[in-house]
Amino acid sequence: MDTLQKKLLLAEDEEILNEMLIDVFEDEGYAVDATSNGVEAWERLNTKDYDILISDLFMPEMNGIDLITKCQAVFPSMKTILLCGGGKDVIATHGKQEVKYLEQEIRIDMFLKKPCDLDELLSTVETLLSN
Amino acid sequence: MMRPLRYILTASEDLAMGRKVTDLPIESKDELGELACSFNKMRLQLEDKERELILSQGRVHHSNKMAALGEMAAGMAHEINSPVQAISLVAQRVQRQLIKNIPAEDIHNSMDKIISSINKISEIIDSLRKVSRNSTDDNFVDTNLIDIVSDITNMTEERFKVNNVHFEIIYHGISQNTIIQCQRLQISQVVINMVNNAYDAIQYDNDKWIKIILSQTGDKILIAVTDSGKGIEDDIVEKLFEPMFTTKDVGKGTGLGLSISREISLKHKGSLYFDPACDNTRFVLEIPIIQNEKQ
Repeated sequence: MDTLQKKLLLAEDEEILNEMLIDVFEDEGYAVDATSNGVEAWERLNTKDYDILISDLFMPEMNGIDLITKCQAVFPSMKTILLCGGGKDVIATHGKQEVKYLEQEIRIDMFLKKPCDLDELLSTVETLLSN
Repeated sequence: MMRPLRYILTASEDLAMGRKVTDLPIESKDELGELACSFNKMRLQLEDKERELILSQGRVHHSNKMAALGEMAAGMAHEINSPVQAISLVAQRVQRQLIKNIPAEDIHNSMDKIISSINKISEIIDSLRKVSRNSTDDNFVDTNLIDIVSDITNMTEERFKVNNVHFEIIYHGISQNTIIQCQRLQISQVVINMVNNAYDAIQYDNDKWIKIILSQTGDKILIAVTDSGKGIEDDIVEKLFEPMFTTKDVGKGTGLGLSISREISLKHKGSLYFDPACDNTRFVLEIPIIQNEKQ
């Protein structure tokens, strides 16, 4: 797969994690943009084309659920991965597509629980982009 | 007859004023003797009740503190998970780099990120250790305002992020490097208590925010905690600082309590009060920058 054409947007408020994810995906040949909160990510989505959005759940300004929900409504062809460390308001299973958050049922392309395996993260991105 | 009456009168006045009182001598078997005997029994019962009250207050304080730590632990667990994820990703990336023979400098940078993440975890654990120990007898020391703010944010910020509470700290006409003389952990615990009270009040609202505004007036520092609530009823305000008074459900006390927080402010020659002039809900801690003498 020609990964140079694939553009990836990260939304993650933890700086070190953001830097690591940029390094990891650039190693694999993806074009990566990174943001540190949901509002910034939403603005970026509206100014540039992306193939896949990888978002943390708990971020300032706008959380990952709200971001992905807006994204799915306006950019239905974009793939979405939600990363989350857990939390009492989230009911979700690793590697699945259904997430329940505060009584709301949300469908995403993939839910991965932190800390997630790097090979799994990369293979998930590759699989979603090749579908 | 006058002498025994005078003993009883003096002892009663001393008891009412909280002074130490010993048993009255029972010198006769008449009514005066009976009065003295009853007084002695009453004195003992009052002492028992006072001991029970102190123990009970201590238990409530401890229970509230444990509840507060429980709440904060959830936020801290989330906060620790992020650097753990970073360490995990970095280590896995280094394994890949070693296979691909990436330059040593890249691997060195990756190791720096692991060390940084470990330091972050260490900071979080250190904050928890500080807040959970008894700091009542700490010395008054020169303390940088930003260190107090750091104690507060370490214990509260993540919990607010997870619960969609907009949290802001504002330095209004004052440097974050201002030095004040205080018992650092005591003051930090008071402000954490104010912030936790604010959170408890607004957690089920739609638009939730909490602001800490630090400012200076004359020779005093003001730390105002304002939340998005709409104030407090007048009849509740009067009782807020009474020992063991709470508006929260059973098991929901989350901190020192305003009564103890006020005692700490008084120990610092300052004050802690509700600001009725604010449209939202605001509590203010005022303490002098310099204590007259270090204690």
